[in-house]
Amino acid sequence: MRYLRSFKEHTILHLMLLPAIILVLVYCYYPMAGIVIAFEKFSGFKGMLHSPWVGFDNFTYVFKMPEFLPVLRNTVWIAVMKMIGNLIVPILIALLLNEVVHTFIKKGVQTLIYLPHFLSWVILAGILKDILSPSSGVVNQVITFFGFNPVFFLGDNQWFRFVLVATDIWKEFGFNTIVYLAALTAINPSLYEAALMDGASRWKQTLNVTLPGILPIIILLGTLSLGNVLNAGFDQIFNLYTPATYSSGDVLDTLIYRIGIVDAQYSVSTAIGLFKSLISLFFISSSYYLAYRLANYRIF
Amino acid sequence: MHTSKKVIGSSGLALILAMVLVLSGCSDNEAQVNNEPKAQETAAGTAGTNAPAGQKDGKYDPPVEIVAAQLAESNWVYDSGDDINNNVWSRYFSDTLGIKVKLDWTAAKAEDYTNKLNVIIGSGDNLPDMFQVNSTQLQQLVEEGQLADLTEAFEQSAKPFTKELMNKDGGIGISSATFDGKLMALPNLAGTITNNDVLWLRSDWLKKLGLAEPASIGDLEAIADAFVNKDPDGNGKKDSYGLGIAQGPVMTGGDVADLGGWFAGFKAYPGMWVKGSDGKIVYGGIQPQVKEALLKLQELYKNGLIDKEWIVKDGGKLGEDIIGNKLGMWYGGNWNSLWPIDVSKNADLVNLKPYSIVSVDGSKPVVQAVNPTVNSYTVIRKGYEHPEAAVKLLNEFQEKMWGATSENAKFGANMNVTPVVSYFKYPLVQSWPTTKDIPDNLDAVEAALASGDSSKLNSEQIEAFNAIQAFKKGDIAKGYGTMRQFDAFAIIKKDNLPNQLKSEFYGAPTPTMVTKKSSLDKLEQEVFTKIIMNKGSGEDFDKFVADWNSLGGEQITKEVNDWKASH
Amino acid sequence: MYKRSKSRMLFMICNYVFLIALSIVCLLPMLNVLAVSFSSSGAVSAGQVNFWPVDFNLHSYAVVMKYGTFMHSLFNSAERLVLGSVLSLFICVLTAYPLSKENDKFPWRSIYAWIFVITILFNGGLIPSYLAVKQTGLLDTIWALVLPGAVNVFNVILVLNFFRGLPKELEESALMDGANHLTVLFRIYLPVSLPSLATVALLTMVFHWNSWFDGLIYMKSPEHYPLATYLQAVTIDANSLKNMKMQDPDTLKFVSDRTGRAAQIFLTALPILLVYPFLQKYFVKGLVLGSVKG
Repeated sequence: MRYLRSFKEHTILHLMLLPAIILVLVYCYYPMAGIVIAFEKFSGFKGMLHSPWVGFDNFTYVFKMPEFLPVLRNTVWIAVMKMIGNLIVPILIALLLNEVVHTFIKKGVQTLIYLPHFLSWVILAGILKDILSPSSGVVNQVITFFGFNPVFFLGDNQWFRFVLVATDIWKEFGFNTIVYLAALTAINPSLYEAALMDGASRWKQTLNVTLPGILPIIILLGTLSLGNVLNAGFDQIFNLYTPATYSSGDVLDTLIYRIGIVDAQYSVSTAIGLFKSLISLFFISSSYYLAYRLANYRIF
Repeated sequence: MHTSKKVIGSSGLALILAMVLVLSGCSDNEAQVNNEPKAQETAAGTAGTNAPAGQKDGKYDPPVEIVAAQLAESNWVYDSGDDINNNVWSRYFSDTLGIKVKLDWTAAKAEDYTNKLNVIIGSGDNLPDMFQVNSTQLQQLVEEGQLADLTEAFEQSAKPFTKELMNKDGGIGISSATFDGKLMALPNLAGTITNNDVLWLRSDWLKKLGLAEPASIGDLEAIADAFVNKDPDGNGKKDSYGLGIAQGPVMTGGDVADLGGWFAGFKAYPGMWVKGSDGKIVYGGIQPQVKEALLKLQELYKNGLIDKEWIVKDGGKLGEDIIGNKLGMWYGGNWNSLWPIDVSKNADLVNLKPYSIVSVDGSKPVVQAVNPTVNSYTVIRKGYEHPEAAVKLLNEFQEKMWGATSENAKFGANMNVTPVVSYFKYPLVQSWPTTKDIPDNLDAVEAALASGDSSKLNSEQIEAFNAIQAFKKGDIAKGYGTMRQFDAFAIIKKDNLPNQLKSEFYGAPTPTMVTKKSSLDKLEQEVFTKIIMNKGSGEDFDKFVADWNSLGGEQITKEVNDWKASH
Repeated sequence: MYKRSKSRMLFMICNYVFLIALSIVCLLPMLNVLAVSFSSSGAVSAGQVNFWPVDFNLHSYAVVMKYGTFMHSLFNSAERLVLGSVLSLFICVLTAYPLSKENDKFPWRSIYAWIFVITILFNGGLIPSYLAVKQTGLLDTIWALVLPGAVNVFNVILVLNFFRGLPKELEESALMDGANHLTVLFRIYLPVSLPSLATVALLTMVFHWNSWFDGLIYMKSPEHYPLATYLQAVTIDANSLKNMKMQDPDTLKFVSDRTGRAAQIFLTALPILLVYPFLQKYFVKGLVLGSVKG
């Protein structure tokens, strides 16, 4: 009843939401019915309603694949490391940029760090093979200069995942920094003035004003990134891994690519997709619930 | 990566055959022309005035329209004013056959075409009347009952010349498109043994180091050792490799720095289905010869004769090593002279020549297993009124390309402009003589070079002829690629043509292949790579064989043998 | 302004050095790509090209741009960018505003919020999405590239969080004066939310400019492809290089898969890089809220 009564009170707010709701219903919820494909032996010509029902067969097929467990382990390892790195590094850079007083340098740095986002993994793979080469790469020249043995970063299972994480962070941190920079601008300048009045050092100001100011955005982006807990990044890995690094670099998305795209087994790839969605849902709702319970803060 | 097998062409042998057939062919054609209207009249008689488009002189009247989907690559070149919908072939088809091909959609790249078609098949969307599919899609559509049976259409409408060309591979292509005795698609055939490996080798390095052409794997090893340790390029640095392998690795021949030729030297055939000692079909990749071949590679690797970084180098990267005088020996397809070898960037590469591949015991010739090559299949949607139209289009394509009335300048390619306008790419329904490159083009060009008379050559052959002439006159940049490609053809003809070992399985993927093959292939690549890189041993290979069988390979082998029994 | 202590100076110097070094690490690969795109393929494969073109030429760009559909695709992309960004941005603020209200003011907001969040998590996949686009009659039209992704929930959440950070008095005083929610949104909220809007606009534009797969699936002929789809379709690979060797050997001296891909990258990135400085001023310096509040 409370909802009904309030509906009338807020007609205009509902109307504002209407266009988005319609679009979401048509282009997100309607296709979402396609999730049933995961439980069928799907045939396009029979359609979703008339394809034979196979229950959880597609799931057990994937879960029973000999490579499933290692693949899941790789996926989680790579995805979680990327999540952490992609959350922390942009915050650090945004904070450091915030300390820069020369607008020219500030703008310049911002523009430059955002360039790698536009390089595709196909082309970066070529560049990385050069600079990480154990015989002629720049990185290994530095390593051997300090008296260590050269490292075959792209051919060594010990190193491969670190390369994946580091290069991904390098490629995306500039782009992710933008959101934090925008958040920094929204901090009320009078808070800094007050802190200054209290004699707070720049470091104290950062701790007590800047960080709390962007904390909501940090929590928000952190929570949303939990949805990526099983996304290790297809393009990157596909372009960089080799049979020698399959055991450390093969992930769910490359598995889907091999069985789903190459052989057009939609039921199986939909099943893996659904599995990923459920895991993400679990993490995102947990963090939403925790934030609400512990801090009485609604993330979205 | 595929060879230039789709590129241009026609066949000398086909031409001769066509001439032999001229008499009988003509009379047959007349008979057909005479017969068809009669058949149509009867049909029209029974069906009354609402009869579907009739045919006069083999021409639909009124014209029929076929809604089609086609791969029209972005780099295709057209005469000015022409496009994929309106060109010399489309006008010819509508003038002589009364067939108008209307394109519902096109894609600009093979991968895009497959993706789009998969979405359409997957969503149960309306299929075009006529389109091309790969073997997986063919299997899928046949299973779903979406395709027209072309058995009768092919039987009745295919001209003798067409039937002749379509069966030149011993009927393998047709057989791969036949399900339960029904022809469900027209295979687009291409050359078969064209894909076999040759050994690309720097002859100037051999000479400088006083080495002879290799006759066995042992010789090859000695050459690799000399290439690494005796500074073949004389730059004073130990920076060259012995034997090149590209990332993957590719187990079959016809690629760049693949392992097909190496394996063949050990009578090992991974990626192929071969006859076992008991007459049953077995998978080549799990045979003991493979182990032997891999352990030998491991030895080379341990001795520093293989680039330690080979697993991250693809064909393009190897090209840079080749140009940089770092790599002088690898197994590869006949077209490696066109790519990645590039003489315009390093004149010394003119000394890169193809050689016969070698075997471990020095025996000759080494036979490589070959896959019958069907580039794609043309299919007709079930329910389309004129399935025979596809066959008629094929008739005309083959007739105008290689038949008695072939007109290469008009329908093949225009060589007098840059870039060359390749008309032969436009038609949707295609199939090529399986003997096109070897021996047809090879023989024709060799004969023309000997006699100096190029008047009998078709456009593809003329192009090759001109390039080879240019090479001989010193225009290395223009002629090297073709010159050496034809050298490679000659080697393959000599080594492999008289004595072929064919892959025994050429059907659509079996049910277990669909679900398990990707895992098995991955396992194979992983284990083989580890063994080569000295991170695995012979025992790992034995374990691989056991795993391969238990993870679905045994079942696949059974299905393949069942398939063979029914074909 | 601040105490210029020694440690502060040291920090500032380290900070500048670090940030500039970081920028260089990010710039060099792009410079390399740029140099490669203008160099001859021979120099590239000989490893002579670092950060400055060798044998400067424009052949790679010519090869990438020469096909008839390039201009079509450029136009399609521009159309998509304008339609898509404007629509997305409009829907984004319209949606974010009600969702930024507190629960006691708008009890429905949580329900709506979850309706949107669920769409980030679950999707039916390629085939059902294709069917939805087909059944709504958008196939082969520009709207197929614009409408399905028009509601970007991530952006909505971003903007709603910025809205929530705005002082409550702004809204309350306006509503008290008899303004309705639309007026509050467009007259009061938007002018002070330019940094967040600029962020979202940039994200949206980058998304639209770079997306290629939807163009491939929803468009029936290459003439209707957006530029990103066109560029991925003209990839210069081993096969096309072999063809070029037969058909157009002169161009091949300058073009290889690497130079071609480099040119593609640069063509893709260029327009966004041009737009960036105009949006950038909003991130660098915040608006002074105080004046509005006063």
